Amino acid sequence: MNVPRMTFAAVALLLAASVTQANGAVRRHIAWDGVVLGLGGSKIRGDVEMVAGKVAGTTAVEVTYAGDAAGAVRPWHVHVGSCAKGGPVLGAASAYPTLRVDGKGAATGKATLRLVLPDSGSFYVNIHESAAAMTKIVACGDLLLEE
Amino acid sequence: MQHQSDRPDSLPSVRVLAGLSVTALLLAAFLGVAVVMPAETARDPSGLGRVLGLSEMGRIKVALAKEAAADVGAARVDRITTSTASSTALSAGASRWRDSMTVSLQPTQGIELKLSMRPSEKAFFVWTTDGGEVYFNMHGEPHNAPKDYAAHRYGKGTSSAESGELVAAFDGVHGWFWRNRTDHSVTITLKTGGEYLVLKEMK
Repeated sequence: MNVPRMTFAAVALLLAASVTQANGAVRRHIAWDGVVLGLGGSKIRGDVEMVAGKVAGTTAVEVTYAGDAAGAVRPWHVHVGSCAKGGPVLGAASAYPTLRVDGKGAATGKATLRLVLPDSGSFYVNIHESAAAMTKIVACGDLLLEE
Repeated sequence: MQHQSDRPDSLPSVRVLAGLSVTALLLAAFLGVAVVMPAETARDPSGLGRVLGLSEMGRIKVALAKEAAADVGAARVDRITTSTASSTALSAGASRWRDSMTVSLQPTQGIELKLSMRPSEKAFFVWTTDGGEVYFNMHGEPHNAPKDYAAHRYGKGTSSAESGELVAAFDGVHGWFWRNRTDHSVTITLKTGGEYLVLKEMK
């Protein structure tokens, strides 16, 4: 009767393992998007998207817009908060390369942040007048969670 | 008559029969946990299923079952029409379409509709709005991808109508996220056909 006893022990161990096995919850893929609109008479209009970066633990942000002054150079950042209330920069400010507006008034900027894509909270993107006039915001857009 | 005299000697005792029965039951339980469970449910507590490739089989079965049972009757979906042998909802002229889904989005509201596809499967689609442009992001991700998965991008933009082919880059769900960025309700109608398992709303 050694064989049945050994089999029983093996089955008992396997059943115990199955009980303790974590039943991982299915998590839904997430992303953030928003529309960027000019302020103070600016004709800027475009999109902003914030998604998980290709490298684990990073967040990728992309802003694309048109309607700006050709040749303009614009700092930009994603912030915690909203266009209406403001808030601190999300991640390192140095991670956002300056936007360079082309001859048609369009610009695209990409940034990779060393942080996990947030799955909650409030965020917005703003486009500054210039490095010398950071307090003047020429365009802003609140991000919405795709859910 | 020779058989009658041999039979009592060849039969096992009750004790042996009981032992063998218990052993058989335990062996069946072992096979259930180590073989059937990973093959049918993708749960592999023994690790044997992964070695034998049964876990992958189970994962595929589970994914297919979930897709089949997916709730495509979401509140935000106004109308879903699936072409079947008995269905006449889709006109004969539009027979290339398998599914048609109509959704209404309030201002700032978004929705995600995806096709469950295997690698290299090719689907075709057309979607239109009843007026006004919506933001769309056409992308795909594996089944049950983690929420911080970097989705595969097929395209994005703002439009009132798009059409074309969608070739699955990998096994997973591939489709569209739309957001209504207007200040009024927008209705989107999506028609799909070709190679895919099911069209469903992602939640």
